[in-house]
Amino acid sequence: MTPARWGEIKSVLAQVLDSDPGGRASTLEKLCGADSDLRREVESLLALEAKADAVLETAAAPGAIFRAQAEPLPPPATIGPYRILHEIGRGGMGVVYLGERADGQYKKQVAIKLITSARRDLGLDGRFRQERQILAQFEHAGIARLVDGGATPEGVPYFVMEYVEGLPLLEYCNKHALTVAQRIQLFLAVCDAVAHAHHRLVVHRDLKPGNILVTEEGNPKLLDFGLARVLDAGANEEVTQSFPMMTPAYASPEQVRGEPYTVSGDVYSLGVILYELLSARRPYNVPSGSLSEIVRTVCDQEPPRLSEAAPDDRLRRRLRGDLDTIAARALEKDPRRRYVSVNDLAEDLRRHLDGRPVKARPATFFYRAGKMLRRHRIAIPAGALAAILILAFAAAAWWQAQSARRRFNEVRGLAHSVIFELHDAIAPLPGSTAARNLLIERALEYLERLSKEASGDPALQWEVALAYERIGLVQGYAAESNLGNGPASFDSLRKSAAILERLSARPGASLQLRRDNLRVLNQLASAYGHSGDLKTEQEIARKCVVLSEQILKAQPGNPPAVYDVASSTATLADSFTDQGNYAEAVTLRERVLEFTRQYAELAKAGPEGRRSLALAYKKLAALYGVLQRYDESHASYEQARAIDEERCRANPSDRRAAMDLSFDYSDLGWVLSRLKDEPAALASHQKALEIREAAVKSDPNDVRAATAVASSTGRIAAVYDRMGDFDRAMMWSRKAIGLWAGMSELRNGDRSTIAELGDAHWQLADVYQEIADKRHRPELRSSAVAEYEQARALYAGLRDRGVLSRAQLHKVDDLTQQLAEARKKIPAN
Amino acid sequence: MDDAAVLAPREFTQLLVNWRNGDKNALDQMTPVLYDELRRLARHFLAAERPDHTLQPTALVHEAYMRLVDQRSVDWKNRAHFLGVAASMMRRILINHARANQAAKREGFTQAIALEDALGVFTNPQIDLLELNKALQQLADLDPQQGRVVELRYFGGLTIEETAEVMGISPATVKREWGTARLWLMQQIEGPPSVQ
Repeated sequence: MTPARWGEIKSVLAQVLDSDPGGRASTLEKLCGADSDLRREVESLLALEAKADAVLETAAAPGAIFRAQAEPLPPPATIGPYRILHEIGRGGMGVVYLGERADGQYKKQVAIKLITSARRDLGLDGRFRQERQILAQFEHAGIARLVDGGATPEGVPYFVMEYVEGLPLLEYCNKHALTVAQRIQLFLAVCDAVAHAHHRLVVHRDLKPGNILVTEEGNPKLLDFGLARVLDAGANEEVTQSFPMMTPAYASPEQVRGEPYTVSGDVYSLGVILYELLSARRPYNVPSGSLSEIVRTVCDQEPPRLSEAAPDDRLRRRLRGDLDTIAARALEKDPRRRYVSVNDLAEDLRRHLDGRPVKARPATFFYRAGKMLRRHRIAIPAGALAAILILAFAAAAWWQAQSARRRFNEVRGLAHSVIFELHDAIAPLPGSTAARNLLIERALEYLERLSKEASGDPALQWEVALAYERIGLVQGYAAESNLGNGPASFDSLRKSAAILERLSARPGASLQLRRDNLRVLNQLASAYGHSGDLKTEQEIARKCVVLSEQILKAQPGNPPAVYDVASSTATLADSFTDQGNYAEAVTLRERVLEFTRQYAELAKAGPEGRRSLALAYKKLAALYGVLQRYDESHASYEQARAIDEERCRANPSDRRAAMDLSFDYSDLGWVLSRLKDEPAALASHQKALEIREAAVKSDPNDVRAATAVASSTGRIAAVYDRMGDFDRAMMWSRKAIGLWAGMSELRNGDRSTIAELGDAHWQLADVYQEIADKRHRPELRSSAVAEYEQARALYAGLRDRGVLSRAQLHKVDDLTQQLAEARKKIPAN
Repeated sequence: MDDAAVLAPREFTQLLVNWRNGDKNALDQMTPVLYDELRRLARHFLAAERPDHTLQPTALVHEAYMRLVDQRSVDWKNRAHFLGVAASMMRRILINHARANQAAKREGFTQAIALEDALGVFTNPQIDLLELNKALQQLADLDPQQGRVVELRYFGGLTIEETAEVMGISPATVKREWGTARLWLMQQIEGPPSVQ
């Protein structure tokens, strides 16, 4: 498939996915027309929708834990002392429930707002109590009373408010077909309530028509007053600006820019509400896109005059003049030019209703022009900015190149500044990635031209190499926001590495140069590894090892240099392991161990350093094990065990060290079995079990330890089986089944636990068969069959759920076969 | 190897904020710390036994985030950028271990539990991670932006909005890329209906 073809398919697919389930067929028909290939492609993709939902969108995605919080939860039965009746609303901040006091203390029904979008905050309870004093003074007919508040045991903040029965502001006005004058009267009542709060130094921060309910009697009530205050009290400034409590369509420019909030922000929001209330349109459409788009719209888009927004001539005439001016004044982008207070806004509206001259004055042309210029100086989009800079840069470079050599250094300086300073300056601008790439590419062209002219100048070439590294990162290095352009990124990193390598090879190359070389090579190796090109990754990893060793040679005993050798060598070793080349891997791992030990000594490593040393031993031991060099494997595991033993002694409460030690014993048990020393293996597994059982005892909720206990139990059963002690094998197998069954209940359908349970049944079945064979106990055949059946059912269940990995698919067939054979062996009665 | 510069959460958070504000040096300081932290955590988890491994990758980044980032002073965008960095690292860590595991299996060491204990195995219950990775690489060749969207969403667990923030594109675009990519990946992984 070509990118262009995929683009075509993707476009159709996206539109079909977007259309209603019922309209899909017709959308498909319309978009594909006569192109039956296209249609087939899209249809076959659509057929996979359910599967993709199940497989790619489940809790199994490695990142799923972060999404869990966003998923809607069923309503809780109670929140604090309140019983939940039902959900009455849902918004950006959280969910609103209707509730009542569970203890009957407070008869009235209340609205409970659970703020799921906020940080978990266990300190909220106390803060609410502090704030309650202020909020208690808040008695105003136009403000829904805040009754209570706190945090759930999980730290989710909630607020309990007087439950208001009414319609949202705009809905109410439309339902009752209020006139302009009636609407203004209603709005004045809203202003009155806001002013009341402002006098008590409480701002709302999220005024919008949806937060203003109008009761059947026509009295407006403001919801959520005081929430911002409680949520912010005790939080530092960094958080205040980050707390997403705003609705962009009604937010003031300073609010979307994250500046400190003042009463003027509420005045602006009231301006937006007034505008919408009177003209039925909002002053501008705020995109739901990125914050930068929101900021651009709110801060820069001049709303049309109120009267111009009116849907018909009659209304247009009614709004023209005073109301135009009043709305414009409330909607001034610059807070200093806005009404100073809500009272001033209300006062002008009253003057208008009374037919008195309003205080606000229309803005002059020059005032507007000046404002536009000021605004545009800061608001040119990043892309355009970059384009201008590139043009200016190109012109300068061309002119300077004309005057040849004597300008050489200036051009070089300019290119350098473009790549390393200008780029950095525009990098934080949203959406500037493409511009950054263009900018760097262009600068690079000049640098390359220069470097050709000055092929003998290593310093310049070094600079070119670093520029390539830079552009490689912009193009595709995963750790920065980038263009996702892997191939181009490779190319740039390769060029960078090639130059640095050439330079490093020269006599007297500086240490810094070689370090740069090592860094770029590491990035390149990682990029190849990432793309699955293991062969190239390995080649480069090899170079890295050589290079890191050279650097170490130049500074013997330098801890970071030792570290670099160890980690480069480990990367190379792992690449061999990945390929199954254990012989190579093991030699390298021996060296890794050596350098890790050196590093641990040099850096006077603490417990963590000791732990990595133990791990270096274990990794090596595992490789010896794979290569069937069991004696060495055993010795190496013993070393790890000694270290972990010592860690446990040094800090008996270190649970991690204890678990590490239990794994050492478990691994030792494995290798001892290979060495045919089953009694020692048994002792080792028993030791592991002992540690693990102690861990479970000290923390019964530690699922990992509990799982480890089950696993050790199964292994002990296997050792007894191999020792020919079938009675004990049978007993321990049954014990393992019990433990895994318990675990699987606890972990509710967890795939690997079920597989373990299946394996445990399988093992017991095998033990039964052996007893039947060796001790001539034919009656055990049917027990074996029963166990095989259990194991097979468990695996088949996993397969049917579609959660059995490919590597395990064969198990169902194996079990089916064994089951058939076992059945045949059942003696006929 | 665990001795890499240890930063207090507050310092790390400051780096994260600085980086978002355009200080490139901050990333240079941050990346090795984060990578080391993830590796340290990976080693911690990888020393564990098989059954628990399904939980590990997520716990991995989560724990790193908890440890490194001062929760009180971070807004969702910083978190998104953090996860954006972590997503790629996570992908690499997971894929490398899946490969090691596969290699062990290929060599007939399915019983080599000791090897698994030491090298560690991430088992993903739903999907063959290596297959997915291969398909994802193909997708990235075809459509780099889409590839990155999947990486962030799948390996980093970023929401649509967070992905949009990190990539500097609109949420609508992210939604579209993700929705179509999933089906394409599924098709690659499933393959054409086979005879067997």
